[in-house]
Amino acid sequence: MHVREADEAYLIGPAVASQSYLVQDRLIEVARASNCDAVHPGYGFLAENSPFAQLVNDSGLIYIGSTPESIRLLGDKVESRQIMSKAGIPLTPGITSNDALSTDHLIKESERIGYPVLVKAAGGGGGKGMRIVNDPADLKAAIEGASREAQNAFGNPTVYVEKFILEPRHIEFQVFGDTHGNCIHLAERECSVQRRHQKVLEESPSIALDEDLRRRMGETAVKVAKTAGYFNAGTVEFLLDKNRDFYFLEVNTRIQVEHPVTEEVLGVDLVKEQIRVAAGGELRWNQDELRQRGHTIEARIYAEDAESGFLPAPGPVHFLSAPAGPGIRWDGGVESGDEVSLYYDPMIAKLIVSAESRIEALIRLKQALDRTVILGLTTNIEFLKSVVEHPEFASGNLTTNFLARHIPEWSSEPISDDEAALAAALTFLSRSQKKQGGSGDASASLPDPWQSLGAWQIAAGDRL
Amino acid sequence: MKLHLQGRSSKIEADVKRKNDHISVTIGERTFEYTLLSGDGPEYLLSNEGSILRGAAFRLKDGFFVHGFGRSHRFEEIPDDVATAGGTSTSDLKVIAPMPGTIIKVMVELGAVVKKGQSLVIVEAMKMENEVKASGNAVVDKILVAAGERVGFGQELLKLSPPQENSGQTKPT
Repeated sequence: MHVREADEAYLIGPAVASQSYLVQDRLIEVARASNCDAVHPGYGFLAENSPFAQLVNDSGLIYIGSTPESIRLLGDKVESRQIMSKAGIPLTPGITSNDALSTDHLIKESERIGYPVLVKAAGGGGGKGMRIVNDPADLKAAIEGASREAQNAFGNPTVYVEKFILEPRHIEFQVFGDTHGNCIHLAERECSVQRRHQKVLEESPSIALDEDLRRRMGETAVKVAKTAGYFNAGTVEFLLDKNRDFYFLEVNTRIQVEHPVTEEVLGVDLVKEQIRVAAGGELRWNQDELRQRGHTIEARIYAEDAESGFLPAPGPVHFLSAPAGPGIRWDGGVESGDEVSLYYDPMIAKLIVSAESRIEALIRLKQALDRTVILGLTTNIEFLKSVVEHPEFASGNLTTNFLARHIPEWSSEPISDDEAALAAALTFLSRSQKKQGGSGDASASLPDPWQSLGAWQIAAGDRL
Repeated sequence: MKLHLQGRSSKIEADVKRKNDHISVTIGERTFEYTLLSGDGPEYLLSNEGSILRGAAFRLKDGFFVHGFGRSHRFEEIPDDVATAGGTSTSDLKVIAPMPGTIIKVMVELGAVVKKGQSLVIVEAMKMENEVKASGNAVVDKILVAAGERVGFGQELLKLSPPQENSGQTKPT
């Protein structure tokens, strides 16, 4: 879909990412061939890759993001823990030195900080290469598995351990800096609802924060960015525990999947600002003028099977109809006739809704999910509705443990008689449609001028 | 006509009749009357007892995708004769790839006795590892894949057979 909408498109290679999206020289070649002057790394593949940022700069192009050095530093989770610890940023207990990464060191450190511990990839985030270990006997196997997964996902097998904070909230702050020394935060996103450390729903404001805590966390986030010499858009992730103490987790050195939440709740355009700042412009916002208005929540719609442990469910999308209306934003990359491929992340779209209050946003999200039609593969839409309708979710008692505790084994509701009858009627209709076959038959049945013409053509007709 | 639809965890036995724009569906004792207001697929607008129902349906080679009341379902159509003769039987011990991907590790050996829930094979897709587990106590009869191999959806990975009843002897001959 993005390829069709682009003014110019270049083939960079076969579908396998290692032969296309991850081939840095090929991307630079294309950038040169297209005569562009800047490269936006997006939020996957090479988005947090400092050698790529360096290569872009060395090729005489502008990298839309921070410096290669700050990306490298923050991408090394252990080194950044070391530097942030020195700067007085609150951290979870655990490894803070690259000299203590042998399996023996990890075992010793785990004993010191106490179980449960979290084994994490030093080279990247997103839940890949991460394991929770409750029992010392499982630590070695967890290190081995996490290391293998980290190697596959980030090309770096290094893992470290930190204390696993029980039932925290995941609160992250959007930060933004320019090349003139300005650096601010754009408030928080709460992304506590996760499964396998992957975010499912993201919202702003977080109901766990009051003005004072928001200010303190925001100031800390800005200090983190400044300590690393980081500018352009970034996200500082924190854990917030039950005592409302917060701990620095890591920095995502790119625009994030969930950035529309911030855009909607603050009324800003983050990607446009990224380009402005990369072009040398000064940040257009002051800290004081940024205020969250109403409530925004984002749901990630995936091709995955929630009934079988969220296995990816790639396949064809025969038909897709996205919801629309006031307060509804659909950031989608798939249309009817496209295919969700097994080569990439199985995300179909992000559905972002906004309303005056949290409860109204939840109702609007539920309605929008009801109106989302995707035929051809299994999606997580019904699962998302179960979460949104859960009383504990509505009351805002969120922790990163939410799904494991409240919806441990999800399964689809049994089909009711009303649903079965409607399904039979619809099946019958689609059955006879296809049997008739020819396109002439289809247009003969019940023409609806509003559907067949479309708003654009009607408007164009008016002008003629 | 009679429609026999087999969903993942549901089964629909319906009798559907159509006269012009009127469709009546009988399920068990209940009959539902619909009027087709518009649509020539995949989206349809129907009315039922005064309420407007929005739905969609798409026909595939091996079944249908249907959307109604905010939910999507996939159904296979079962022919009349099979439906009346009863369902087909498949082995409960089948070990298949739950998704297309790459085999990372085969965790059992030929002839091994495995317990229900034991991990058998690790399959990776989209950088996520997934463990395929035994659905019951069994013996590994055949290993059909090796690490590094690409597998398709539903491809058989191992052959298992039920364990010997006489619990003293573990090795099958």
